[in-house]
Amino acid sequence: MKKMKYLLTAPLIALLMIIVIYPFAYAVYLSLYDISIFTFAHPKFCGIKNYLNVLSDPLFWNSLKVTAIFVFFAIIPELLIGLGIALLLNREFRGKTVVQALIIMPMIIMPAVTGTMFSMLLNEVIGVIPYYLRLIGFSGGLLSNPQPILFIPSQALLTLIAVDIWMWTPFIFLILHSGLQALPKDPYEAALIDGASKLQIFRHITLPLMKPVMAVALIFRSIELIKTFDIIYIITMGGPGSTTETLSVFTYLHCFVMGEIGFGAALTVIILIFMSVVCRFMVKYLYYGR
Amino acid sequence: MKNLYGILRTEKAITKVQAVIIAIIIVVAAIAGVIYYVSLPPSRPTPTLKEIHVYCRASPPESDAWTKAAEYFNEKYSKDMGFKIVIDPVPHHGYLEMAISTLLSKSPSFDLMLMLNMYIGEFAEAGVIEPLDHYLTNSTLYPYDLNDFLPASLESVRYKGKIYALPCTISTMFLYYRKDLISKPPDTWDEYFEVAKNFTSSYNPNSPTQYGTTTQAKRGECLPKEWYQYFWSFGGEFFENDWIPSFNSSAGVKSLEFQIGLFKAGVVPPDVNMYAYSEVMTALQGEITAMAIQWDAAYYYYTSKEYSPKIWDKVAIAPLPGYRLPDGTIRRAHFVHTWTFVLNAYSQNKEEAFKAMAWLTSTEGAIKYAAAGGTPVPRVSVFTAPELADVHPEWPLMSEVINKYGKSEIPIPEWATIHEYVNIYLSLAWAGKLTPKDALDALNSSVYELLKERGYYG
Repeated sequence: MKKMKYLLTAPLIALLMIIVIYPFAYAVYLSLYDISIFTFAHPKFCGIKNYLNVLSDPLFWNSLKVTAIFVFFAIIPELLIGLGIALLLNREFRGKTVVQALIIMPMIIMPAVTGTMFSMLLNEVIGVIPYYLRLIGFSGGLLSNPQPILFIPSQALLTLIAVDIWMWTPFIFLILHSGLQALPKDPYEAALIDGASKLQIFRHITLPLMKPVMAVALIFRSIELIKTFDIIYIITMGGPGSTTETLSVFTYLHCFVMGEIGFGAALTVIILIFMSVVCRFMVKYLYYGR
Repeated sequence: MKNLYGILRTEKAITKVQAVIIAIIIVVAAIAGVIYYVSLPPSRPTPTLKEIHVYCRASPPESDAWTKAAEYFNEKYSKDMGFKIVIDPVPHHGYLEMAISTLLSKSPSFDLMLMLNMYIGEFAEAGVIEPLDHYLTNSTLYPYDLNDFLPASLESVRYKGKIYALPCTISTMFLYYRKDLISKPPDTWDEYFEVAKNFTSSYNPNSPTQYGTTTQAKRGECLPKEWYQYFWSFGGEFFENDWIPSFNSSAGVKSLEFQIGLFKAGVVPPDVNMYAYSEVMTALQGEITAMAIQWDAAYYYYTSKEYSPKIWDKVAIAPLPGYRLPDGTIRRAHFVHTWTFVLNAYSQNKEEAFKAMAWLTSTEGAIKYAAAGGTPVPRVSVFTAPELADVHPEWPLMSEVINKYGKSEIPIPEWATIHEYVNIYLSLAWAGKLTPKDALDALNSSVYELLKERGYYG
């Protein structure tokens, strides 16, 4: 029986070794060498120097800060709006499938297309969005204004957060809607018999039952938000200045533009450790609730 | 096995075990199939002639126009030469990543690759592109005239004294202006500023355009390249003797202050720090600005009735403005970069590949490329070809400004990193996070530390 267990899982483990463990091990190997495009054939071992270079680079810390702000200020509205839409659609009505299809459309557009589309929509002179905002008194600079707003480094980052919310709230909606559909009916019937109000039902029955589902949605979205690259690179390329330069953009520029392969590998290892800690924390406290 | 048989006897267990086994088999089979398919060599029919594969950027006009040139070659010369040319287009976005990973993987799947000159140093140092001198001096292989090339273009493909590529297109920027509004284009930066103010509605309510001009200030490839033209014309140079960086010279600071001053004065659109090639194109096409500093490749689109219905017959080009010196002369500078063909050091058809790149960049190949909409191969014979005079009326001026004022980046292996440093610090200056002086001081310091680490200072 034990042998069967190992036999059956062996193919999957082999696959994981090939597509996950080996690339990670190779990245760790590269991170220990002073290696760039032109020293690729003859790299020099440099130990933890790349890690020290990453950790002492002020732009790395800036990108970490930008990423944290991007994730935090995007995930909360996505969760709230997604939950609101899921609750609204948690009933049968005519045309529900059409409404659902329309809601998930932003999610199915390719991110590169979304980025290009919003680059044009947000153009100060010819863009539709700044035009209507100016009509209601907004002064402009959705992407170009580098001034900070509250905790957000620039208006450009706030705009990118808004674009991400538009794109990925449907994903949260899909997960939460499925969760709501799977909830048991008995507690609701009992609550109605006991005379509970809708708010009480939501607070004491729906929310606790939905907690694991919301945790799953939060974990998935947080991981994806940390990895977000396409819309940021296409719309702002990390500018103005470095106010929208997230970890993924920072890594890309070092690896593929500057050709600093060793530095980039060290960066990816550090990001992996950081994401592992974040995910562990989220799974422990959000999913298992302890 | 006994225990497993016992489990299998119960109905529920059969369902669970069967489901698990079937699921694993399906997943593994699917993934194995994908891995097998991906690991197959590119499926190409067995060619009757040897094929020389050229990786080419798939943006207009490169791959389309080179394909037309290759088709002409294949029809006319392939039988005698013993090979045919196959252009393999690669998506525009991600081209650099493809180039890096393919070249470093030592793959023989291609023979030639389109490459920007600023990367030649680092790939030459990596040993993944072939030096061409011994092919060029072997006249039995393909007699080739290097003297016909513009000097700036040949310098851009040399590294440590050897030629590592053949120039296949050259690019620079023009001052595009509305000839119906501006009778004489500005010669100096001061005149440029005054003309820009005159066509900005906040200075001149009667201005037919909202802004006088525009600039590419979005963080990316073009932000540094446009600034270099201001930098050089103000008298700046990248390095003093012995590779000491001098980006933060007084000329450098003045040039950046001038360029950012256009934004502070409000003569360029307010979100110009998000403007790259497309946005600058739209600004002039949409009659938002009266002038624009823009790449030569835009000429075709600006003067096309289909692409620029509002301005196609109202646009003219001029050399970029410059800096007036005390003796009255004007110091201008035009940034020049060259797209080149490089020969894969791991190609299995090096001699044929050299012949292919030689023909593609010969006068005949270049004329076929240009006639199909391509940008100029930097040969004098191409710029002056009578059959292209009507197709590319901008080329005589282009040839003149490149010869007189053309300057290029320095093809050292570290240049890609330096370019990105310039990007970062210019962007910080444009965002107001650093003053121009502080930004260029920081840039200078970063470049110095980089070159020191690479052993430039002994």
